[in-house]
Amino acid sequence: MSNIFNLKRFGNYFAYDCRRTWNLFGLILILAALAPAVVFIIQQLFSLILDGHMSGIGEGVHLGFMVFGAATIAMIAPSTIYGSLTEKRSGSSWLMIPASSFEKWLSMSLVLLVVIMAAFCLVFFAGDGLMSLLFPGTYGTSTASEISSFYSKYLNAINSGEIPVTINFPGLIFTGMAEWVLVFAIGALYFKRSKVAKTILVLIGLSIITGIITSFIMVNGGADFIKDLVQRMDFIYEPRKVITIFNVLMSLRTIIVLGGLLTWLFFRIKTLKH
Amino acid sequence: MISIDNLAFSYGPKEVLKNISMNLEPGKIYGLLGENGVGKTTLLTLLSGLKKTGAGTIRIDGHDPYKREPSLLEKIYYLPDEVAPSPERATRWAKSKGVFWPGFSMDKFLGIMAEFETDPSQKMTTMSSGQLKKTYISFALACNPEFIFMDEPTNGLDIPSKAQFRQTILRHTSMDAILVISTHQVRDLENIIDPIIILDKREVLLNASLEEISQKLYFDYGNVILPDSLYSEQLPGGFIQVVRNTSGQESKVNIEALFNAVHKNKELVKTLFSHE
Repeated sequence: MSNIFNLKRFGNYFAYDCRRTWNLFGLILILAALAPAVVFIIQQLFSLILDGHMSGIGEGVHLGFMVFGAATIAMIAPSTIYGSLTEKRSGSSWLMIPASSFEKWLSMSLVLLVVIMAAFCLVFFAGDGLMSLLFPGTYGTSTASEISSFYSKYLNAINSGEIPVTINFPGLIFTGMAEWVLVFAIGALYFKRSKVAKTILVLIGLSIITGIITSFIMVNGGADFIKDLVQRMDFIYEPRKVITIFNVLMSLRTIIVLGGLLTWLFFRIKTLKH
Repeated sequence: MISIDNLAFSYGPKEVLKNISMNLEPGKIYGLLGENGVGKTTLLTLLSGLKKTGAGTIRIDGHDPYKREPSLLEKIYYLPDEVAPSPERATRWAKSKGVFWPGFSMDKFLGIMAEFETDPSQKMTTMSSGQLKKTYISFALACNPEFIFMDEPTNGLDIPSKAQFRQTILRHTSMDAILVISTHQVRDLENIIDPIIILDKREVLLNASLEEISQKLYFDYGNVILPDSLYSEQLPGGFIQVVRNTSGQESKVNIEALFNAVHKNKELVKTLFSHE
């Protein structure tokens, strides 16, 4: 039996990890995903008591709930599910489970990047759709319809330009969320306490340092260099090329950042000690 | 078989273990004794692969435990001094975790839980620390590992449970397993641990079987003070004294007295038990 990957052993470990996730995070996830429905019900109750009639919730509120809920989940899920691994009691028990570091890393990545996100979307759209069907007048249109109208309103407008531009909106959201989740997962496996707050502080610190370095470069000839480069390459007259290069650069950036974060997470798991 | 060769480990500049060498053989329950901070827990975590050795090597059946290979982890169970409750019933927890150890038996787990008079259908988060410890001990033995490392397993157990623990260890540990139990409570384990390993700051003072100890040291329970005793302590109605066994008399080893005698006569004991 391979000491790196064995399908049966990985299946057992992934099932164990999913059960553990459900025990530790299931209720929080459901609550976050059903937030618009819960808020709507509370609002209606107050409205009925105080005004004697039901009132509607504004346009775009559902989408706001979804974005806020997903961002919150991405921030707190890693520390809630895996934060205890830096503690001696839980961490040593977890390290001693007979599965390879690769299997533990793969399972952790799947849970955080796929299972949690898919479960959130599933519960959110189910709850939101149901509320929209039950209370079409006051709850308003479902988030799915809002997203669809957003597509037709803005993205189609971009597509209908002189040069059609296809934006992979779900892909952009997924990769953005994945980066967010992985950063907080790494934070959860490094910091012993206040994992989310410390990760945010590190991100703020890094942004400030990056900002200062970028400003320094731009002030000291960087801006002129870029301007010169753009003129030399004649980008302005070939918008198709600009789009292609932009796409390549963005894809490269995503691969490097996601790959780097996943590699970092793997080595953190492999070298965890108690 | 566990081979430890010139093992060293430091926490930053603080050296905890240095030049530790020993072999641990199958079918024995080793008692790992030592004062606070001499590195008992550190040694157990190094054996379990939870830490990386500073120098030297540890080989368990020829494998480096720090590599944490699943094929080796399947043969090991490490029970830390403090255990964490899982937010589920003990049976569910044992069932979902037991799949990773090929030798795990749910019947054995339930049997040992019954011997400990602990309800396996209770949620682990509602258990007392003693009940939680008993659940983990039951699980460790139910996994049927070849190597069991227990750190202060009797901490938190009540008096009947300590007796039950001794019986359970003897009854449920397989004949060819290597069990290493670190403890301060030597009386809790007096009748089950053999050989005895006594760690001092950075070195092994003693690693010997009870038979060898009783061959070389005599434990006198009389009421006359012996002039050449290595250690003596007044007990109700007499003394417990440790002297060199020059006449080949047999005596029952008192581990607490042995520990104190070893600590008071480090060099003498090292020479006496030297196998070189």
